[in-house]
Amino acid sequence: MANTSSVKNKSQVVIEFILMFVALAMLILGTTRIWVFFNADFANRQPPYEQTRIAAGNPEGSPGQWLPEGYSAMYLTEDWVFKGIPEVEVERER
Amino acid sequence: MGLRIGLNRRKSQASAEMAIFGSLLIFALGVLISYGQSLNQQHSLKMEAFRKALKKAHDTNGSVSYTILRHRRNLDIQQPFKGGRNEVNASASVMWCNGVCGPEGTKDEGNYAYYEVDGKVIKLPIIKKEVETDEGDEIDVKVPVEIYKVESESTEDYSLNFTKQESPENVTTSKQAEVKDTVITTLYGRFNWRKNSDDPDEYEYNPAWEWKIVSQYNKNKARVWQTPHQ
Repeated sequence: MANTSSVKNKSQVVIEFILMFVALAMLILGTTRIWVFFNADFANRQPPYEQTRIAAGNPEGSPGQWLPEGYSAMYLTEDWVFKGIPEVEVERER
Repeated sequence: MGLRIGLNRRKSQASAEMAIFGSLLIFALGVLISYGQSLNQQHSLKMEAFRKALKKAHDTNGSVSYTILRHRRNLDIQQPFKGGRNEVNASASVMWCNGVCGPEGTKDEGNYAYYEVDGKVIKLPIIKKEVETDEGDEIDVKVPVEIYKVESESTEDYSLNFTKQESPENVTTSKQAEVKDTVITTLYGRFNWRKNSDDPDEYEYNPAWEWKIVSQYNKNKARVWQTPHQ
């Protein structure tokens, strides 16, 4: 009898562990995706900023130009967090 | 009997642990995300402040200090539908003079300061200030007044509609939230009027300026979901 009770307790612990582990993994995955968004937003903003540096600092160019035309900001959406689908494609420079 | 009490105790212990550690974990993750969001906004605003200062310095042929103060609705883990207000600020100084500082055809010396609060730009007034040179001569220079205090007052109207409709197939739940956030930012400007007669190292200030900027943020959010009957 004591064995049955011990097995029941162990099973309970295993089930709780599995449930909590899944919940925890989902939370951590979500948080990571949000941090990846911050990283992608930075990557989306920085190259155009760098590309406009010369024009922005040149009186003959476009002094003080903020981000270039065609730049679109990124927004954190549910699709990004839950499915990993970005709203704007970030171009990679090679 | 003894076994049942033992089991109940263990279950209560497990529930209590889950309630405490679970909420702590969610809080920690919320803080982490919130921190990332602020960091990202701060970085973006720093870039923007620098370019805006650059533009003003070029346009005025002078030395410009540009400060941006912006209120945003950010993530709040305790009230995810509503979010929380966050204040981000950044500032940059640029000197871009071609020849003598100051716009052509004016007697300005090209020292300017701008304050942008939620998109509204204020050019700080320029006053004459008496300063002492290294040789001990007293001369007048034109400088912008100093912002010595920034105060924010805010009101937030939040309404949440929560409905549940049951049909033979499923339960439809809808949540609709509306936030109206109004922030009144007051900037206080002053300049050092003259040296204090009692203490020559201290200045007497003339706090003669005050600007009030009203910013509003409205947002609606709705979500509908269906739960089928089992």
